[in-house]
Amino acid sequence: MAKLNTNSNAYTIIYASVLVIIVAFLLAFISSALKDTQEKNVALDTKKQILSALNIRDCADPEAEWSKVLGDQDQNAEILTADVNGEQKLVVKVKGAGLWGPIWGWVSINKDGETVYGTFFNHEGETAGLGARIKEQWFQESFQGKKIFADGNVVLSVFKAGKADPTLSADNYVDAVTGATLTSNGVHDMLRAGIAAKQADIEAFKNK
Amino acid sequence: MSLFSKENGEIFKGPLNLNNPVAVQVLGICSALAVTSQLMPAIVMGISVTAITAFANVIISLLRKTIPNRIRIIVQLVVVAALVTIVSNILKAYVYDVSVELSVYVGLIITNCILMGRLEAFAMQNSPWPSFLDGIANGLGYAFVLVVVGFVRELLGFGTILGFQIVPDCCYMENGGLYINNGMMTMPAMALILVACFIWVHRIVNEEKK
Repeated sequence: MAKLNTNSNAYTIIYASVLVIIVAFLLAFISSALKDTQEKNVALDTKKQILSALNIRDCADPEAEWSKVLGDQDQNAEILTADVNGEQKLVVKVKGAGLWGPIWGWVSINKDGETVYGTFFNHEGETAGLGARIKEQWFQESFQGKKIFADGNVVLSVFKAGKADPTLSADNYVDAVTGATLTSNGVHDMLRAGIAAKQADIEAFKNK
Repeated sequence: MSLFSKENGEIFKGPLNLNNPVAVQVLGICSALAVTSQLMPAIVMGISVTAITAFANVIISLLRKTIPNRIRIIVQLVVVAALVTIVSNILKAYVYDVSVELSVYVGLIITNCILMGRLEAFAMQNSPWPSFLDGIANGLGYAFVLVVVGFVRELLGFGTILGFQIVPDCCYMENGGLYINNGMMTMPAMALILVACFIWVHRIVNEEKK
């Protein structure tokens, strides 16, 4: 067999095309083969996050806990109703912008329609050790028992320690994460806008 | 040449110690900083890089006589990118929590200098079996440093190893003890300092051998 000229243009182009086609088929095959398992993982992870917003953290069997507390509701819904040990809770999904990328979370509200029962926040790429700390339990738990509304407006806030709006009572805000002012402002705006958008649902839940 | 000849032994031993990719060649530092705040992600990252380096080396070595010289870097990149995408998909399917933790760094294995370095310097000139050994050894050399740094950072930063509490609860300040976790250890900067300490110790040990 004559030795191929591996430096010719034709050879180079054909080589590159064949290689890319083989790789493309391989990746498409793997991706579709694993898609179901991956989607199950994402769904389970979302359920765990929502359960955390209901102060059910690190439970051994999230699926069982989910069907006990939230029944067969879709974890991607914007509004969920939960039954935690006989008490009705409303879970509201909120979305916003952090410093580097999207942030999102869930706020669970007591039957009185104004007291925060629990929260969970997550982020895509906030700075580790600073903005990323909104994902930590101590920050999320600082919202427990806070009042969301004043005179019909959403006033639940995140303020830098000592820089709170003096017209609000201490029941209405939590301290921001030190060193993460912009991410904390993102959480603040996300809560204000996200809850205001669902105020009618919260009202309906309260009067149900 | 037998599979476990002396030459192959040398190929395998070099990257583990005297020619360690992180400690001696100072490659792959960026990911070593990012994924070592806890031991588990460090181990998974080490295994992933080892697997990808080994298989990329074998594939490039098999193709080495057919690869057009002018596009050889592109071919290497395509092979590495394909393998990284496969590994990333497998992690998402079977160890989802770890894949969230590693986030972008799995994808960034593509740009890990160790990989391209080994493909260009070794696999392009050698047959598949030595290339496989070279890939495994370089991956393990990298993984070893990651595991050491991850071990120290998790132990001092969180008081745990692989999530198990090592420092007894009663020693902590809030329970009346005298100990608090070193928050600095959870920051990427400490990884840099720990890698530097590792290199320091490594040089002292190897100095004595000469």
